[in-house]
Amino acid sequence: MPEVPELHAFASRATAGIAAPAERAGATSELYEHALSAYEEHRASGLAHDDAVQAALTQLGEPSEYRKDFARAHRARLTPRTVLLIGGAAIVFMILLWAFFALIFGVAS
Amino acid sequence: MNRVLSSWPYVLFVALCWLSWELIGVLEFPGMDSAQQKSLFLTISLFVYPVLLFLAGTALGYRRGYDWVTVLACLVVFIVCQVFSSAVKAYPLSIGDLATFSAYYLIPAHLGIAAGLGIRAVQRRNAQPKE
Repeated sequence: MPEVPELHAFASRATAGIAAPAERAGATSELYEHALSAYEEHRASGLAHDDAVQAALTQLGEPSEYRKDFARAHRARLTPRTVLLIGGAAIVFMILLWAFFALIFGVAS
Repeated sequence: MNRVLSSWPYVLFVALCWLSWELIGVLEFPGMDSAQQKSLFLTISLFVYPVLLFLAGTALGYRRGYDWVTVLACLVVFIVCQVFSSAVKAYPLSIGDLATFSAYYLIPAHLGIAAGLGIRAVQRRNAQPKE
């Protein structure tokens, strides 16, 4: 697989809104492959390297157009079930916090 | 820069926590003696705010994964608020105070993020089609 830095830069910019590093890397690689296949199509049609890169970038559009959609797609939604799970986790945390302070102040007194 | 800007709900939450803490400091609590007020402040600072930070961390971890940009942006705002408070009250902060504030913020927030990441991982695993 050829390495085309311009396409890699495009993919990195388009996925910059994804916060989780592993998910961002996966999305970048997927988008890069998509951009690369567009580039290879243009190369197969007879364009020179620079022209094929430019044509692929034009075909793909602005990275900013992708950024918001990618960020939204990789942001988990808060459903009622998730809110309950988060509440449960907070209750566990409160119990642990209470036990921690009981231990500290119990030992101190 | 976009990721810093998209951190605004979490930054606002930290700023509101700080504002509410400052408000509690100036409010009068009728019928409470100074020992009771001290207990109330201790309960709020050692129990209520850590739980709020944990909840915010859980929401962040669940929705965005480990978003260190947001964690750092919130920490900066938290420290700036503390420095501002101490400057207004003419009470100088030492490096030790800042380290304590950072630990106070970072520990519950990271436990929350870990819980959020756990919930996210479990939900994603359950959502995958079984073979």
